[in-house]
Amino acid sequence: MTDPSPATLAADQLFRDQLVALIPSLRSFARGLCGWRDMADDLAQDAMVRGWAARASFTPGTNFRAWMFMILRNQFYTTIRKNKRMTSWDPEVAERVLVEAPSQQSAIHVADVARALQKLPAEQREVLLLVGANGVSYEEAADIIGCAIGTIKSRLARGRKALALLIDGAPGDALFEEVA
Amino acid sequence: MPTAVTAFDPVSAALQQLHQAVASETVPDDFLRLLEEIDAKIAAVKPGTPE
Repeated sequence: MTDPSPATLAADQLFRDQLVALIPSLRSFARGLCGWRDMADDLAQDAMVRGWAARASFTPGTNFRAWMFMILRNQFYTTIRKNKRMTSWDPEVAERVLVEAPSQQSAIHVADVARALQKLPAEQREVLLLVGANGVSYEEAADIIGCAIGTIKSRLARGRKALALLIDGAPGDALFEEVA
Repeated sequence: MPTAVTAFDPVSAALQQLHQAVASETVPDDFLRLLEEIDAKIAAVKPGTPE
């Protein structure tokens, strides 16, 4: 067997470093998708293992985050087809978030949002998590999910309205406040 | 003179807080072990490194 080239080793090292940097986002996306901390971490690790195994198919210089989110998302849908108990947010985390990190301007409780998220259809939840929580662009989200940008926008709008209704019965638009 | 209007969106703020809360957690040991395995694989294929 021939030794790998220095370029391959450098690419592996870069891939590994990108993976490390992405762990917090992978864990966050997974947690939002499936709700349970332990399952979410298993999901994130599965995605890392799969990503590493498939690293030869990743084109350096392209969007690594989108590529890994896509793997994680695919793994999530594969897993929920086999496991019906991935339905609710970890209540301990939601409580802690509420205590530790209240927004200065927030008019709603973070824990309420966490609970409401898990009641949304997965197709709306994932868009809210990608765009709203992770700061992914519409274009990147469309790549990850494999749909048109217009679909992302409409799912986001529907998800926001549904989330608002679940939280306090308010229409989504009413959650905007104008600050002079 | 037009007044600058900033739309504050509490839903987005809450979603970002949820993300930050998880992202700022200490990475569990399981992940570190996984990275060690990856590091070992990289080291094992370096020329001149005994496997």
